[in-house]
Amino acid sequence: MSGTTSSAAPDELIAALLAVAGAENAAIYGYSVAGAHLDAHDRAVARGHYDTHRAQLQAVSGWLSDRGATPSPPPAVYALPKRVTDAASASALLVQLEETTAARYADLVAVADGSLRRAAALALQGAAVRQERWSGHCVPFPGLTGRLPS
Amino acid sequence: MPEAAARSVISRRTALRAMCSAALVVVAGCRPSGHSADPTGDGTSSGVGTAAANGRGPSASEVTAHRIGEDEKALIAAYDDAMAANPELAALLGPLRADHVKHLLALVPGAPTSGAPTSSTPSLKPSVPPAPPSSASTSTALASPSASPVLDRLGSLEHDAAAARVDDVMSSSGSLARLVASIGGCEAAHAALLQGAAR
Repeated sequence: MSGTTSSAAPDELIAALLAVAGAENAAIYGYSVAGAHLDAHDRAVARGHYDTHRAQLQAVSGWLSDRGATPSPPPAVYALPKRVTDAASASALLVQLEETTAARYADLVAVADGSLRRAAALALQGAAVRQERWSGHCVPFPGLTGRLPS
Repeated sequence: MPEAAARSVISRRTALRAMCSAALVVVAGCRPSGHSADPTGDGTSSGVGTAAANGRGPSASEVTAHRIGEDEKALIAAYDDAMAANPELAALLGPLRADHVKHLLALVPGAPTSGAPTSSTPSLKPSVPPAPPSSASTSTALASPSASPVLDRLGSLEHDAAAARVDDVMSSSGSLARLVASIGGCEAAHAALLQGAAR
């Protein structure tokens, strides 16, 4: 039994990719909101993370079109999971957005194979590192918080 | 066309079986969080043990989970060594060690986590030598001069562990792959945190 054989129906894979694209879109929006509340140093860091999410969204869009699908356009209005009023709430928002991003990549890992699965695992690691940057601590199971012992 | 369909059915069934095996391991380590549906779920039952009790050999997923579990044990031992030599680092390193204990228990429910491992030297990558004591002695903003090489070394181990988890993800499937990917994310974050602390 090989662990690298195809492990999901195409629909599952497309759904997982669309969910990743949604998380990346939300993160891009969230970083643009949070940035205004951060000090200059953190804003520069956040800008780099924003660029990373934009690049990831590009990659995900490519994976979708490779499979004959197109990402849904980002919604005109986002309901942010947290209210942002200062630097602390801005960081808290980014922590939550990175956890959601990690979760969607974790779900993609479970249904993808080959180079896509590897890329998803690496993207999850990137989200976990950014999450640590904004929270100052590590969680044992990034992307699975609330789904496993923590 | 029929051939492709048959292959797809077989691979799906194979994958399903792998996912069920992995789910045994993962679900056994699952604890309801914010739900009270299973108040007795203490994560101590062993999915691997269940497989053995059923009289079948370990599945590929179980073998993979155990192998990664050995890496986690080696990391726990590395943290134990570091904290024994540098007790002042316990507040920083203790939570990171605790994460590896959680990883081990999620992979191998019921695994002993406090016993001495077979080797105190992590066997992650033979190509990574211990950091020489002089390698980081110039950057000591947060850590003491003696602690900085320790943090560098642990950071290097975590970095290699995270890279190894990406390879492990490729030899896993379904929910085990998801768990292993998440563990790799934690280890990458550990590496970043340790790098920051060593500076």
